[in-house]
Amino acid sequence: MNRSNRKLGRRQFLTESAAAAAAFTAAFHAMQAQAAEEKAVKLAGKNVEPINFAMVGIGNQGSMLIDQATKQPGAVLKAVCDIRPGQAEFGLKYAVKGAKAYDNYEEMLEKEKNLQAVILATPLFLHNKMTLAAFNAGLHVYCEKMMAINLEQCKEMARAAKAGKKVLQFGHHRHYDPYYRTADMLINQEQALGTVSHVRSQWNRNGRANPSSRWSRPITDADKRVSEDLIKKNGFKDLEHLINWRLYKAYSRGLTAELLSHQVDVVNWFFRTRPIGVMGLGGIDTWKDGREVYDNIQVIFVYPKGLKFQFQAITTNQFDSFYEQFMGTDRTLVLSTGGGQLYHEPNPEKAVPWEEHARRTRNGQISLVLNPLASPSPDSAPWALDGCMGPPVGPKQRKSPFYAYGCAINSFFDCIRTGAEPACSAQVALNAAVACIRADEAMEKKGYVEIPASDYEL
Amino acid sequence: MDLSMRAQTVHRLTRRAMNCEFEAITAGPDEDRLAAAAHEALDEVERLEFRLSCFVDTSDIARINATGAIEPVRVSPETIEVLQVAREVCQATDDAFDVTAGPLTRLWRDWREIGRRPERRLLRQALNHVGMHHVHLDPEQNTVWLDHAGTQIDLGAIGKGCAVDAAMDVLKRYGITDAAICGADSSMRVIGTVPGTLPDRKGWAFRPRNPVDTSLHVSAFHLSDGAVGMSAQHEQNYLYRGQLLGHIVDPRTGWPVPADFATLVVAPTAIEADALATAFMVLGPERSAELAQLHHGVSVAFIKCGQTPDEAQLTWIVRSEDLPAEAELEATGRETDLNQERRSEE
Repeated sequence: MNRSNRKLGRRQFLTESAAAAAAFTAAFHAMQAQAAEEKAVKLAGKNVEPINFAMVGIGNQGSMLIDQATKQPGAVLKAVCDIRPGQAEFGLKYAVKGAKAYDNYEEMLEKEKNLQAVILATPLFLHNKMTLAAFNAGLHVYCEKMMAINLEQCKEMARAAKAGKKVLQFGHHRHYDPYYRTADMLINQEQALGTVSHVRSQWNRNGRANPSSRWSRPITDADKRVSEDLIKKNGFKDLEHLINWRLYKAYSRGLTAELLSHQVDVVNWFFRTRPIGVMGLGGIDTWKDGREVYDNIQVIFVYPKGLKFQFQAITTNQFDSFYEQFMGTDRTLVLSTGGGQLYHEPNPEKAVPWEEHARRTRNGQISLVLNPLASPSPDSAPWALDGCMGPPVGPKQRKSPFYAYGCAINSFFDCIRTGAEPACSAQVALNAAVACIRADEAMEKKGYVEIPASDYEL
Repeated sequence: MDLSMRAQTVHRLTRRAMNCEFEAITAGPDEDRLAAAAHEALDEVERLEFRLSCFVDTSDIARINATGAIEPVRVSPETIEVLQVAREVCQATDDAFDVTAGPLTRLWRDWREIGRRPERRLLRQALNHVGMHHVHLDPEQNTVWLDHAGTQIDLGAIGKGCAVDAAMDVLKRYGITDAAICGADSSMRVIGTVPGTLPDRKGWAFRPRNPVDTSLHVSAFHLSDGAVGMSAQHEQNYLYRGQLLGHIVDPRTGWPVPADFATLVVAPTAIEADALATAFMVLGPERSAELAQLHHGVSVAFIKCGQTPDEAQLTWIVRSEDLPAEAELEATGRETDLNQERRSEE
C-alpha cells in the first residue's frame, strides 16, 4: 500500500478540494469561452437527420458504446439485443420510449423495420455472421474490432458492404481520438520525428492482481440468468465460455485480435503502409486454466523501407500499461489514449519553433505533452508544456477516455448521412486483421511469415 | 459463530478518483473473486467520475453546465437518477441541500481571497441562479436542461456517495457478502462483517476522526449493513465579525455555514448519507433532528469542534433502530477497526 496515499485524511481531502475548486475557476472560464463554439455545434445538432439504430452486445465495450452513441446528435436507439437479460435491460434504459429488448438478433432484424444502422459489440466469431445479416436487412454497420475471426470472413464482409453500398465502420477508435489525430499531423505534416525506423509498443496487464486482466472473470448470479438454450444456440459451449470467450479459439484470437490489432492499426495509419512480414513467439506459460490462446506474446512486424514494429503483451506485469513509441531520427513520440510526450534527440535536423518553451526532462531530453486543444499559432504546436517555463499554449482540460468512442460513432452517423467513407473503413480494418492473423501464424510456426500482398486485396 | 468457518482472505484495493482515495475492502474464501470484484467496483467509481464530475469537460454534468441553458442535453440514465436523488434530498431538507449552490460557493471563495465578504448585489445575482427548480429532467428522453446559463450543477456533495453505492452494487453482484467501500473518510458503505471480528460484534467498526486532529477519533460504533457520510469544514474558513464561517453556503440565504461543527449521518445508502450530512450542516441540530426522524434508518450526530482535539465532542441527535446504543463501542476498544487498521499501516 502506498504510504503517502494511506495518510489521506479529511483535512487533506479538504485541502485538495480547495485546490480542485481553485482549478475550477480557470476551467470554468475556459468552459465559458468554449460555450459559444459548443452552442453552435449543439444547435447544428438539432437539424441533423435522425439515425434510428440498434445495439447488439451490451457487455463492457457495448456499455461504453451505447452510452456514447446515444449522446450523439440525431441518435435514436430503437432496439437493443443481448442474450444476458440484465444487460439487455441495462441497454433499454438508453433507448427511446417504446423500444424493445431482444435476445435474438435475427428476430430483432426481422421485426424492427425502421432501423438504419446497427452497432455490434459481440465476440469476434460473431462479427461476420451478424454484419452480413444486418446488410441483408438493409442496415449500415458499426462493428467492434477486430474485423472477423479469419481472413475469408473479413473479405466477405468488406465485399458485402461494397456491393450493398452500405457504410461499414470498425472500432479501431484511435482513428477518431484527438490525441492520435494530432500525432498523425505532427508526424506527417510537421515531420517532427524525422525518419521513423522503429516503433515499439506494449499492452501489459497483471492477471494475478485482477483476474479480468487475464480474461478469467468469475461467474456472477446475473450471468446465471442466461438460458442454457440461448448459450448453445449462439454457438457457445457453456456459460463460462460465453463470459470468458476471449480464452477460446472458437470465438477469439486472443491477445493479437484484442490488443495488438489497435496498435498495429496505428502504425499502418501513421506510416500509410502495412506489414510485409512478421515473426513472433507466444506461449501459455502462466495461466494454465484451460485457455487455448497465448497468455504472453512478442511480435515483430517488418514494413517496407525497413520500418520495424515490435509489440509485446504480457499478463503478469502491468508496469507502464499500454502505449506506442515512435522512434525517429529527430524525436521520439510516446503516445497512448491518455496523451503523449515528445522527446528530442541530440541536435535534431529539423527545428520546431515551439520546442524552446519546453523544459528539459528525462535524461536531459526535452519533453512536450500533447494537447490537441491547444490554439494553433506559428509559435505553438499542438503541445502543452510539461513544466512551467514558457507561456501556456491552451487550456488544460480533462476528457473521458471514452470520448474517442463518441467521436467514432458520431463520424459513423455522419458517414451514413453523407455517404462518405469512414476513416476506419473495411480496408483499414482488413489491414490490421491481416497483420494479426499472420502474427498468429508466425507464433504457431515459431518463425517468420511473409505476408503476401494478396492478403490485403478485397 | 465459529470463527474457523470464516477462514477468509481479505483483499484491499485503493485507487485515486474524484480527487480522493477510494478503497474497496472485500473478504471471502475466493481470492480471485474478491480481486475481480474489487477492480470492477473501482472501475465503476472511475467511470462515474468521468460521467458526473464537473471538472471533466466531456462529463454529463460539464455538458449540462455548458449548453443546458441552450437546449436539452442528452445524458446517461444514471446521471438522471443521481439528479433525481439530488432533487428528492433538496425537497426533503427544506432546500438546504442543493447541487446548484456552486455559484454562491465560488463567490464566497473568490471574495475570501481578498479578505472581504461579497457585495450584496452579487449575492442576490448568484441566488437568482440557485435552486433545483432551475434544473429540468426528462427521464424518458434522458435529457436535462437549465433555466439560466448561470445555473451550474456540481455534484461534489453527492458524487462520492453515489460512487460508493455503485461500487457496492458491483461487489454484491459478485456475491461478496463482507465488504466495505470508502471514499476518503467522508463516505463509506459496508455489508457483512469484517473478518476476525469477535463473535459478539457484528459489522464493521467506525471511528470517526476528530475534526480538529484527524489522527485521533471522537467516537466508535459498528454497522453491518449501511452507510456513513461525514461533512466538515475546517479549511477554507472565513472569519467574519468574530464568527468562523466555512465553505458550505446555505443555498437559501447565500450565507456560509458556521465552521465550528461537523456532521455524521448513518443511512441505508451512501448517497443519502453523503447528501444529508451536507444538508444537516446547513440546517443545524434542531431542524436536522426533526427531519431525520422522518427518514427510516437515518441516524445523525453533530460533532462540536472546539479549539483543541480534547474539546471535540460527538453527540447523537437521532439514532435509528438500525444503530442501537449497544452498537457504540468504546473509543479505545480492541475491535477490528477500519481506521485503526489504516493508521497502523501509515
